[in-house]
Amino acid sequence: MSISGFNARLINAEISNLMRTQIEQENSLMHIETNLEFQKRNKGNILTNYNILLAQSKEPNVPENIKKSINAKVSKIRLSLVEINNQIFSLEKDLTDAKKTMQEISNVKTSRKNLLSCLAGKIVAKERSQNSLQVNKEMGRTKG
Amino acid sequence: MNDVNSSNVKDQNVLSFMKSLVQEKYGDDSELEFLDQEADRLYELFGNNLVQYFEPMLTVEQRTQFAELDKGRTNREDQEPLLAFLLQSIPDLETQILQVLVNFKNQYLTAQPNQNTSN
Repeated sequence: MSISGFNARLINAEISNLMRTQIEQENSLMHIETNLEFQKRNKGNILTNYNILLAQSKEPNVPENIKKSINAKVSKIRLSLVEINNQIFSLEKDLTDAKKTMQEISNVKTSRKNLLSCLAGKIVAKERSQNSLQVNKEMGRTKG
Repeated sequence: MNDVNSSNVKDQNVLSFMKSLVQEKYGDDSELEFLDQEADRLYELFGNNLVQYFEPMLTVEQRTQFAELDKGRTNREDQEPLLAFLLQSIPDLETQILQVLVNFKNQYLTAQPNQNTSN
């Protein structure tokens, strides 16, 4: 079989949508994971500050005016915590969705791969049987 | 996602073709374990090449039809309707698969042993 020009065609073959979607999903997944990790670390820092301020606000020897200011900060931090918890919740949902999509893409790819491999197998078997037929013919001719 | 370790049943004709490739490259006295591992690797690689090569040949509409046909299969083992659809949708599909196979073989046999065969 002549394969002249075929290599270039194969190399230049456009990367398929499926592959491209898979790469995009992998990048998206990585981005979500990084963001989630960052938000969790951020939450940890905010919680530490929150606990320190809360402890300070309960100190008996802290003057009332300072306590007021501490309590205001505590309220602000509580709001930040609610906000960051929402963000984490949303990111975790995105992460689950992205993983599900990745799995779906992988399933589609595997299904197509199996199908094309099955077809390739039939072709290999056909080629082999044709080759052995040819060999048999040649052997017959040699004997004859 | 791990494509290389897909646990699906392999097509024995393609797998035996890959084994013969490994033997052709490394000789008949290759260790059995190496032969199997290398043939498995080539099998997955070849499958990826096939998907990568043929997917752009289907139109968006054909891809949707194909996905629906795939979803609608009651017997997962029965691949005939999908194969028929592909053969109808892609002109000269069999010849093209044969070309991909020949190309894959040539690339593998001419590559240095530590190089990966990929398109």
